[in-house]
Amino acid sequence: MPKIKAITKKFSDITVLDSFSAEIRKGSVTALVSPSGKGKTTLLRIIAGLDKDFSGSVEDVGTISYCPQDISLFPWYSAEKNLTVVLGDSQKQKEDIRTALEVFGLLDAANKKPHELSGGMCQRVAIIRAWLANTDTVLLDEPFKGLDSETKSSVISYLKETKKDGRTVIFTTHSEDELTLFADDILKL
Amino acid sequence: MRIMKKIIVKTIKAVLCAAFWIILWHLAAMKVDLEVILPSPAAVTFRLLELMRDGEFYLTAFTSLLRVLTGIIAGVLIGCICAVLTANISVLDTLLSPAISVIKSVPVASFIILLMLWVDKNSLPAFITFLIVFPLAWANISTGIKTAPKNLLEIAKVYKFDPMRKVLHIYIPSLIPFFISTAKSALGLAWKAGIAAEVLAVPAIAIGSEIYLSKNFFETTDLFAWTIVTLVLSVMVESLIGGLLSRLSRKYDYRSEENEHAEN
Repeated sequence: MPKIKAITKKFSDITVLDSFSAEIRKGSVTALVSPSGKGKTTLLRIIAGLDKDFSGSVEDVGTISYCPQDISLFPWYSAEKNLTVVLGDSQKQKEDIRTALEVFGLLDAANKKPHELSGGMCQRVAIIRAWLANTDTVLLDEPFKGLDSETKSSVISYLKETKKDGRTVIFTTHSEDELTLFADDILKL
Repeated sequence: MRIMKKIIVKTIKAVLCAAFWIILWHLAAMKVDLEVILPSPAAVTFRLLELMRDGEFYLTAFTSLLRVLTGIIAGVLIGCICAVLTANISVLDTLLSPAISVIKSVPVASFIILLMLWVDKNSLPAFITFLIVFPLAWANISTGIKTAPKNLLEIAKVYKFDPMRKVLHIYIPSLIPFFISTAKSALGLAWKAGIAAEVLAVPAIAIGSEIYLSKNFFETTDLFAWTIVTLVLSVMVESLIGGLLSRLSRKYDYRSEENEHAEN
């Protein structure tokens, strides 16, 4: 069971996380909710191992994949290459990538580079990248922001259908319907 | 069709521009009316054709070309290697930075004269070209490495990229614009420095040596002819390398994420 133990994080004099502790049910989809600026992204970055400057500890998260809020696609590669560079290009991976691209309505955009795609399309590529990585924990930072409601429901349906047992998902959100559609548990910061 | 029209317009503009300067040069030569001060374009052309009939002309041009290219390639390669090392080893950066600043600031002539004492005169022009290109390459590539996209390096960290994958998928593509900028600024300077070194060192076979002799014997027509040869070689090398670089640039064509989101 992933455990977050007494995490305190400060930016200069501002305390963003103050001895925050939580246990996340293994295999659950947990929504991390809080008002803006209360440390959701910071906590995800700490869990992802990208922020080392904090006190406390994170335990039993296993391997991690992460979809950051700023998307972070390789600007010089096409959408599909962005996925194969991270996930590998075995026949099986390529098939999974093609399937995901189709479900996410990105098949026609597979050969386009990020600057040729809309923000929402890039967002979906980044979700696929985190989702198809073979990891124990998936961290999604506001993954559905900017997606229209139809796309959002099809993306969530795909994620629920393809979620492996025992895989833990932690995502941040501000949206009530995302909580209803996707979350098993809610963790308030 | 539109591209063809663009090429034709560009060519016409270039021809008209060249014609303007040649006419101006011709008029100035007519006014001066003294070949030793300013030879006419026709006299220079005849002299150039005369030189081109001699086999030694090609050997001379090729030898100088080889020297300058050796300096450029060595400067870029060693500059890149040093940039990688100094970006990763701060002690080395502290040690090398002032040395490179000195190389950048010291007049080329001082280096030429100093190196004449240490280096064989046939190798000197390549050394000097190297000294001009090396700091440029080091500075540009260092900046490129330091400004490599942090968000992509974080992605590489999360997905556990090994160093080779980081270099291949993040550093090399993000360094392309810096590499192009290095090559653009280095090419012109390399020729100037290389030929200047040949003029001062006077190796057995060199464009610079021919320029030196033309000065000694007041053969200004020869000076113009060899200068044109240098110019042509420089343009040829720039076109060749520029072509290769623009292919590379097209392969990694991308825009920044700021532009990307601004457009959406």
